[in-house]
Amino acid sequence: MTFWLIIALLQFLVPILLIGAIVVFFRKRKGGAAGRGISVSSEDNLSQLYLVVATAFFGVTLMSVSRDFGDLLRPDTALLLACIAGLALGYFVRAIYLIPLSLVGLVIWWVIRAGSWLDGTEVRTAALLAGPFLLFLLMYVLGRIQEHSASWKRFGWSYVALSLLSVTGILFVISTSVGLELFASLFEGEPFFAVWQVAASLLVFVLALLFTAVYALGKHELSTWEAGGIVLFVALMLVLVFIPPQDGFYVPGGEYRHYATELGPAGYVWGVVINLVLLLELLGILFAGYYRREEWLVNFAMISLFLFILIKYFDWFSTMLDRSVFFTLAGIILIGLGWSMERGRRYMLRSMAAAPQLP
Amino acid sequence: MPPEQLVPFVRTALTEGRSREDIYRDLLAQSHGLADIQAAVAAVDGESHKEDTQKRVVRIILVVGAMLVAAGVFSFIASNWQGMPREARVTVIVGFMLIMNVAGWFLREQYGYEKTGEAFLLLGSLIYGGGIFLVGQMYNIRTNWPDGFILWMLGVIPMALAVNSRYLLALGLPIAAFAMVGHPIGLYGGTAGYSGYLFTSTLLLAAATLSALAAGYVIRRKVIAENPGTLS
Repeated sequence: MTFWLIIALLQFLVPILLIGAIVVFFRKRKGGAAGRGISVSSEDNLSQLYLVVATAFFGVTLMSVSRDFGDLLRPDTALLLACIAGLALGYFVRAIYLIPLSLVGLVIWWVIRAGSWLDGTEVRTAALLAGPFLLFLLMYVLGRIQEHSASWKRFGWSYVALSLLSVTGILFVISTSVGLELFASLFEGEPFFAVWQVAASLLVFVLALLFTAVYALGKHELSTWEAGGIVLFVALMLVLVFIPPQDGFYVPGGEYRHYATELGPAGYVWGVVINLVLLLELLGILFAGYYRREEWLVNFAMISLFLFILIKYFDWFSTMLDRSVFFTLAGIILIGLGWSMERGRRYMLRSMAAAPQLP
Repeated sequence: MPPEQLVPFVRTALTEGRSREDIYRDLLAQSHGLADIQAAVAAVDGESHKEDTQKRVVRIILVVGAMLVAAGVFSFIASNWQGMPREARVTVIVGFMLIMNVAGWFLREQYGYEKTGEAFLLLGSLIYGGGIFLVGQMYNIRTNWPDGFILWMLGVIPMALAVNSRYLLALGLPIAAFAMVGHPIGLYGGTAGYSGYLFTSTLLLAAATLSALAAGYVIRRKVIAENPGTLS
């Protein structure tokens, strides 16, 4: 069970990285929405890619050496060492591509370790969701702190972008009907205190997040709204890991239903809560973009809102409506959505251009 | 002066490496209207965009051509494989590789055919890579299959740096990707014919790490020197 949960969580990260690559690609083509392109030339691009390749080869070399000497290291330890080397190298030679890849590697390392700690126990697996979520929030705050320094602005941006992509991606996945099935399984089992490594990790993550958030708030790197959003997410994660097992998440389906089970009262409540949190997060990003005058945040929020409505439409209505009605309505919704998005984006960008610069 | 007459001035100034701010300042000082200057700059931008597109098309055609020739060479060798003695096979492979690299260098450096020369150099590297696998198979060399890709990459990187070719550097990346993915799958997935205890693989992986690191670092130093203060 734990193994499949790890696989499912790792699967989140692949689309996240792909979407990230697409966003980064378009951002680069535009020369950087905020004037901070991630590569200045094709040589820069190539040099960064070679450094990524070197870091990956370093990890594989460690695995191979370990095998030659009778499995000295676990594969995840090799991953950890390669990610630490990648971060150090990235900062040393100012290669921004290494930063998000190493950070994602560190998160994957923690998920694998936590999975192995939980393996063979009856402890609930909610920590496997809460841990990465808290780490990505921590990256957001660290990114905002780094952005303050002119020397590390691009690095800060990479933390923020990775964090937003990941948090939004995870919420997207668990907000769908398939994701809710996975989500329901997180509640099963005993409290995670039985496994001290997991409990200690989560405690460290929460404390680190709170300390850095307070520091960033004090230095005005984080707005009160952003801090509020982070507190909301931490609260949600704490509820997830502490709430008692949920009865009635799924109930047997009716005689004419497609599925053997369907969402019960608890399932509906959690479905609404997750979708509401996702919607609030996207609106929060939109307004953060407006407040900070960061065009890429506005674009990111707009694209995500578009995907949100599209995915929800297919997720909720695809089994209910006749196919022709389904496609016609989908088309009309998309055209309407595209038009309103273009209009809204223009309005926001115009307002951003007209608004006085924040101190 | 109407914008048509400003266009040659703007074109020359941009070719000389002058900044747009300088050009605007000069022309405004000569009492030209802002709209005329903008129209002239836009016209030159349009020309360079067209030129870029043409260059890109030529580059794509040449790269596709190089790949097709490489495929043709390997088909020729494969179809006559049984009838050729070992020495002849190695001679054909090494000969083709040398001819392409030498021709590429001459075309690029001596005759100024930059893109065609690059395409020949690319072809030389493709033949080199194919040759590694053919020689490995011919002499039954005991290696793991991703090792061939590492050897290929180890040859392509110095060549790319020596001839300062972006094509070859770009070629090194997908080659590296095969080795990077192939080795862990072999080590932990148990691919048929893969030996996890072959020390040659470990040595090659270490060489690949150092080689990629050196390539990345060398190019990075150049980029930092060319763009001071922009990589913060």
